[in-house]
Amino acid sequence: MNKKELLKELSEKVASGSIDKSEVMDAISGEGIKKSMSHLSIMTILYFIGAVAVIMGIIFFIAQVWEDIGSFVRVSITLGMGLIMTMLGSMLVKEKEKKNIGLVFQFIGGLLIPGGSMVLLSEFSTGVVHMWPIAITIGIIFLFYLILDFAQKNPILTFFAIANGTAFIYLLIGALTEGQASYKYDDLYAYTTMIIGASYLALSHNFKTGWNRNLVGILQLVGSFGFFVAAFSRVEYIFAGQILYFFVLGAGLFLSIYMKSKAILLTSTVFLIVHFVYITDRYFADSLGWPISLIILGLIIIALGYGSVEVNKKYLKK
Amino acid sequence: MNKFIKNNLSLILAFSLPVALILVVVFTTYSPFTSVETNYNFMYTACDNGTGGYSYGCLNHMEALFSVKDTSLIKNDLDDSRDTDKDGISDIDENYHVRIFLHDTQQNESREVKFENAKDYEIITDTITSPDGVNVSGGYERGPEVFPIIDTHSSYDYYLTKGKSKTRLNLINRDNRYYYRDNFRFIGWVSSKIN
Repeated sequence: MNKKELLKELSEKVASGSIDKSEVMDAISGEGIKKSMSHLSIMTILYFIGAVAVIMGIIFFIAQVWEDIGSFVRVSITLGMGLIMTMLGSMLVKEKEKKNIGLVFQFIGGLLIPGGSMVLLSEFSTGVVHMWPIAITIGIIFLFYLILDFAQKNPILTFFAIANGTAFIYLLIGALTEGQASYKYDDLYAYTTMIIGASYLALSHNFKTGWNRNLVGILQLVGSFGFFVAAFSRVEYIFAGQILYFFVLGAGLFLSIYMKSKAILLTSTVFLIVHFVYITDRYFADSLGWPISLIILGLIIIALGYGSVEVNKKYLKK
Repeated sequence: MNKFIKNNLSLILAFSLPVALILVVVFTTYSPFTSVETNYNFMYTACDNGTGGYSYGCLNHMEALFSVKDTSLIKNDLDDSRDTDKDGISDIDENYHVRIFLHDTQQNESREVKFENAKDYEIITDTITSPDGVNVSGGYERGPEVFPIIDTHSSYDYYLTKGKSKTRLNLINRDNRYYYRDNFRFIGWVSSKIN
């Protein structure tokens, strides 16, 4: 069909009332697509609100009847319901029209399963629950979500696999070191957080193409934030830590350009400001006085903010 | 294989970093280079008040009941009216049960021995430092605080220590030593031979 024939057919359709002029204008400007997308967003919001209401209702109901029910019922309404929700969700996501509802069910299940597992451990343990059973339980849940995720390729399942995997690492390290040796737990967990933060960033790089691309932003934000917080907590305890931290933040800025990540740029800039505030308070506030220190600090913050915007414009928006 | 690694290098890195960390923790925790060993076993006593509950009252009673003389354990005669914790109830009426244990440091396990057998062991030294320089010392462990919701209970434990290294001792009644550490009295290092 050439342009002339297309325009002729269009005007005939408008004249006959089959389509409206405004509909033609919407299609040209993309408003129609936006309306259908906002329709989907409203549905998603409603699903989310519904899911939150369901979860809150479950929690309050369970809290009300908890003391009056036995162990089997307690495990059934927590772990049992979580497993049922996840299975239902897995069945529903296979149908295109019911995919969003399926995701909501999987989300609810993902919140209930770890808590339900702890209820199971608590109800059937005798006395103090040590770390090993907890670590192994969370490890099994992690494997469960990993296998399910590979089978269904679903970002909600990936989210829970990562969440449970992260918890498993912390718990495993806690179990391995419990009472065994003279550990400085502050150091140990700071370095663990840095390793996990780096893993999150590596995962986000891998997820850029694939079914997990919706998780890239949150992984970069949480990973970089965790890494910088943990590194900052060790600044005073490592030789030349205060200087080294500037290099760490510099590496973060470079990484934000390489990965084209606004999240990493944001966290790097924020922690650069935090570190400048810390250095000013530590070394200059008493000698220069706080008023002059604040002036210098304010100018640094403005410069950093401007630099961050320029980096974003020049390297990230391409 | 090379193509898979090249295409998924970041995924491999994401998994291998935590695995490497865990391996490092395992090595530093369980490595023989970091654990403390000694060639000697030791004897200790523990007690409870017979009716269960806290045993904080019987440490002084334990100290008075057993002592070391000429490399042997001796049992002292105590006055029936003795009230160690000054609570108005005599020690006899408190029903203190004092038990003697021999701790095998190689196996890191304790076994109870009767006084009639315990007195035959040669106690090389009643100092907490063994002839090969290892100490028995106590310490309060607050437990790894992983998440606020998981109560990794704190406890007072005993350790073999040498320099900065230490190895926790699996003593009898370890799990009950939550608040009160007094349920342990070190007697002395023993040789493996019986007199």
